Amino acid sequence: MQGAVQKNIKLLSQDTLRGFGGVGEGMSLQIAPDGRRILWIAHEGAPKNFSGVDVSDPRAPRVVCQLDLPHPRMRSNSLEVCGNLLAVAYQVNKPGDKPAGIELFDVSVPEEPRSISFFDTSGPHSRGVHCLWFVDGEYIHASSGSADFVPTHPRDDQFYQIIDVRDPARPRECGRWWYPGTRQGDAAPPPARVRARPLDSLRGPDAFRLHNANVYPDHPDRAYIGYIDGGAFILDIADKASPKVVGSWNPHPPYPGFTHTVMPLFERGLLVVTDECVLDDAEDWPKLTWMVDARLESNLVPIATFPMPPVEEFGHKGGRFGSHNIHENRPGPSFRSEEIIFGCFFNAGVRIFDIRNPYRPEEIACFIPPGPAGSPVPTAQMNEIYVDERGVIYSGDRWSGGLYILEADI
Amino acid sequence: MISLVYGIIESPSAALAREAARPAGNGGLGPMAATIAGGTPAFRLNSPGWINAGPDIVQGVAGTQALTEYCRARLLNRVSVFALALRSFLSAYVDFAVAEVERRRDELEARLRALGLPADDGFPTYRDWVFSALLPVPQVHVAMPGDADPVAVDVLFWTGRSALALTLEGRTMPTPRQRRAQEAMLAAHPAMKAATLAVPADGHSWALCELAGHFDGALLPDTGLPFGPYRILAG
Repeated sequence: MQGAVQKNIKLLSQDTLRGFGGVGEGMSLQIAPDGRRILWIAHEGAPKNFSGVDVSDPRAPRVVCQLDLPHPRMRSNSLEVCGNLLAVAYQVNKPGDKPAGIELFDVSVPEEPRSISFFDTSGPHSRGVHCLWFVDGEYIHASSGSADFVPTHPRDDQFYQIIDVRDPARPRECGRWWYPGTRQGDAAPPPARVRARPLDSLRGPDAFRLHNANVYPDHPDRAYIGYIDGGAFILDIADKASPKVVGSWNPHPPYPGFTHTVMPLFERGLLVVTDECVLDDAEDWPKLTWMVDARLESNLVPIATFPMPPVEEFGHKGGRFGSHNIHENRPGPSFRSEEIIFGCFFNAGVRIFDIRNPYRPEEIACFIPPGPAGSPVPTAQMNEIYVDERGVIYSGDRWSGGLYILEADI
Repeated sequence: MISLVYGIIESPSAALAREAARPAGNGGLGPMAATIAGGTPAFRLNSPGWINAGPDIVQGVAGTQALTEYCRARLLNRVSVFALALRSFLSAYVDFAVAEVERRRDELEARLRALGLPADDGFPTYRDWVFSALLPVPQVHVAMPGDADPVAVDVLFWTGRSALALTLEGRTMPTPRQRRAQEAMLAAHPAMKAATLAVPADGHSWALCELAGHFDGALLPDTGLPFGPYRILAG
């Protein structure tokens, strides 16, 4: 690809998703009943809901399905497919609007997603669901508001909800946890703001709300959650109705906030914790990816950060620069490694790290596409990443570049 | 010849180069490196060289059980604190060797009696055969011909006739480059075989009987007498 920066990664193909190439934080791979590999992609914003892309031949992806949102004042930033069940997160711009919640689709026929049910989390103070995790076919772990949750700060509206979808036609909430002090009526005082910002927008930083919740079927009693300015938590969810904190770690402050993903490496007693960059022009630099010693859950110890390219080169070249999503070792047709970490870093592209020595993570590959046409910023903004079990890497640009399919020589 | 370094190694190529420059050590086995040639005897827990211990330590680990625990601790001391699966395997392997000796107690006691020695409460005891178990050489990097990078192996056993490169199959899939490197290692070293062992779901119930099947009976040798603890520490 002309203008791309690449080290040990080559581009197999790019697809701008029928001109709607803004990719959100949801990418999930289905092996369809007919054997095709369908990559389901959440869009960053309206007008599109989600796309299904046949990536059976990664050199020739083909959009087979693309749905519209019910209205433009909402987004479906996140999704997950498990078997033939697709869960899609709906978040509205303004609390009280609808539809806010989770829609479940049967995607046995990928060209024709069939709605099975809708789990409504709307309410006067709720924007619905920002992010969800669904890998066991039984429970969805979501960042959501609800009708009965009145936050102490308008940006602290999305908390951890566990939704039982064992009967996908009748999803029901079976557990929840929120940061103490973020709900009106809590005994704890509201948390001190890390970097207070005006309330002209509910999106973005200055928030004590959930972003990602990761729960793995072979360790079903643990939830690893990134609570934005509240930091990283390990919850005991053996009793889903009553999650309990077993460990936490928060570098914010003095770091600038927005813990995003907490990924456990079970066979090594480690966590990979990312902070999301949410402001352009390095306004919130540094946004780091951390290596945390979690051998003792109750005493999480940061031991390293992943190397980043120079801020003087990337900080002011346009858009965001810093950590964001990583490939999360999820079950299914997914590459899994506790030694190699794949991440996307907005204008610093896709980067791959060797963490065999966790005290010294080492970058072994990277790919930065040129800024795509139609983007409001001059750089590519790599926003989401998924790696299949063959090692094929799928990553998406936040604004217009759509899907990039890559192969690494690692 | 197979050259390797093992244990916590941050730069395998540099470590191998350093070892290559040293004069030959204790029969091919050192505290962080080994060379294996045609006549190299099997690496066992009682092989000299893998532990450096002075008289002060020898005096502090009297008795079979204490020395067994000392061997376990020294094995665990060689690997990363973050190699939880490998650490679990090494500890389970020591337990397995102890259990294997107990399983063969009658046979081993008969050997001692045949030599006119007390079977249980003397020196040696049948329990000392645990030190004859093959040494699990952990976190190995095997040198490759030319400029090729060393190849990582979770655990290596040398039976005196063949080397077994054991991969603990857990949550980490090999990359294409790692797959190619292991194939090249096996091609470069005909005396080496590869085996895999699944990391157990509960983290500790290893299928070690399955592993023992790879050793052609060499896990515990048919030696007339077990080598005593001081032999281990002599290196």
